[in-house]
Amino acid sequence: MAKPIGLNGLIISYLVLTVLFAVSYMEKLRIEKDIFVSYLRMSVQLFLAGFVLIYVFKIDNTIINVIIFLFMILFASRIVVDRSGVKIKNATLFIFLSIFISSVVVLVVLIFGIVHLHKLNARYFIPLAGMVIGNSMNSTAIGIERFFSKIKDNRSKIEDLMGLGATEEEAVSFVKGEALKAALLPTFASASGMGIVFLPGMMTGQILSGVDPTQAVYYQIVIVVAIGATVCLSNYIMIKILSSRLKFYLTYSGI
Amino acid sequence: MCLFIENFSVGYSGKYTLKDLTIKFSKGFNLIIGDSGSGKTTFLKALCHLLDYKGKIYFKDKRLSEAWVRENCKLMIQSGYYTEETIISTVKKPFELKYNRGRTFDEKMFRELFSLFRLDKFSSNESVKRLSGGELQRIALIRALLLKPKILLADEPTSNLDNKVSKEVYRFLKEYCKSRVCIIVSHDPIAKEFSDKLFYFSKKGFVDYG
Ligand SMILES: Nc1ncnc2c1ncn2[C@@H]1O[C@H](COP(=O)(O)OP(=O)(O)O)[C@@H](O)[C@H]1O
Ligand SMILES: [Mg+2]
Repeated sequence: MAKPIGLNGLIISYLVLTVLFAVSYMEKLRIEKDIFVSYLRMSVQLFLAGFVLIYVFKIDNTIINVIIFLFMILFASRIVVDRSGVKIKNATLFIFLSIFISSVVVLVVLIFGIVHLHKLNARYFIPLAGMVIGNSMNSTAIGIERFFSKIKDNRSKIEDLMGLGATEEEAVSFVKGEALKAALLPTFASASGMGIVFLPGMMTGQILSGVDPTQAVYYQIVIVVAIGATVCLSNYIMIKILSSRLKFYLTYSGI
Repeated sequence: MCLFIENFSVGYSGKYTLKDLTIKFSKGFNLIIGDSGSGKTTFLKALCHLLDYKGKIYFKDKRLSEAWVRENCKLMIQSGYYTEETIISTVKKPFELKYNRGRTFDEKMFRELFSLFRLDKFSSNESVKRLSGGELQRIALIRALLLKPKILLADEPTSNLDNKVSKEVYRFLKEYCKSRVCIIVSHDPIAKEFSDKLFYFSKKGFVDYG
């Protein structure tokens, strides 16, 4: 039986990072600082999350859980805006709404329909929400970036259609599909590699900490499907909202 | 039947290209000329609700809604047209749109314009990839004309055409515009011969009546 990881284990693990620094140095990538900052951030954030989770699990108050849920979506939305580089008004709000609506729908089915909880237990709700929101974040960042870059590339064709009477939705329908596909493909690709190419993080964690592999597999399947559904819904809603404001973006956003 | 535009302002990213414009267009062939960069293209796009604008637009003394404009005001842009595989599917594309549901494709008019604008060397199933800039421009013009809108806007519709074809285009437009408001931007000297009224856009952002 493996022992719990101790401080020594953690230090050895950090020493492994020298591989990254060595490669960056030898190949003159000049990303030593980025590497340092990224892993420092990761460590601080995880420690903080760990401390917070201890208390959140202990208190387990539905209102606090919901507030945490909203904050996670808010942070995810901010990260999407930063990472995608789109400079449009209210972008955070629209992404927030898209992720919020889609994750609520999926989590309700997941928590009350499949896991059969009677309330939003922090132990289940917070990690499940985190996984669903995190994946929506990654995919909407791709989706929104692709949507606007396609509009930029095809601006005159879109204007042409609008000039002939197309609604904003009709005018962007030929770029909408491409943005959606680009946002969804990584999720499907990762689903199809699961179990053969890699064991997903959650399942690995569960098995390592002693859970019955069958249960770990069931949980993983449920979650992968939930992630697929949320990713799809959040991008669909986001692009729907953005399409309906096309004229506004053509006038004010320098695209 | 006239189009009255009052206190019209439009621009990009918060900077006005046109400011507080008040202007009246009557039925017929209204020709706009003017300095490059003075905002002619911007004006047509905003009229057709491709851009957000400030101001009021009346048609027959009635304030226009966005839905009305989408249905009844059609714009032929200057370049970069949306195309499908073939000539005929490109020309028929607008008839699939929600606001054009009430319209039917006028096959006879299509044939007539096709030969009037000297495109008869092509079959209507020809791939649009084989068309030159000027040929595609004529297809785009035909596509807009077939919609028979109450208000027709066209942005330099003959910029890639030779004089002979341009003349046919403007001769046709003169007749076509007798029953509607047409606003055509063009630097083609031939356009002047056929136009009913001339407007001048200057770089300073206002309009002179000519
Ligand atoms: N998409 C756009 N974003 C920002 N500025 C633009 C855009 N399109 C045109 N402009 C600017 O608006 C002004 C008017 O342009 P335009 O309407 O195309 O003039 P015209 O058709 O009379 O030559 C120009 O100064 C041009 O640089
Ligand atoms: Mg122009």
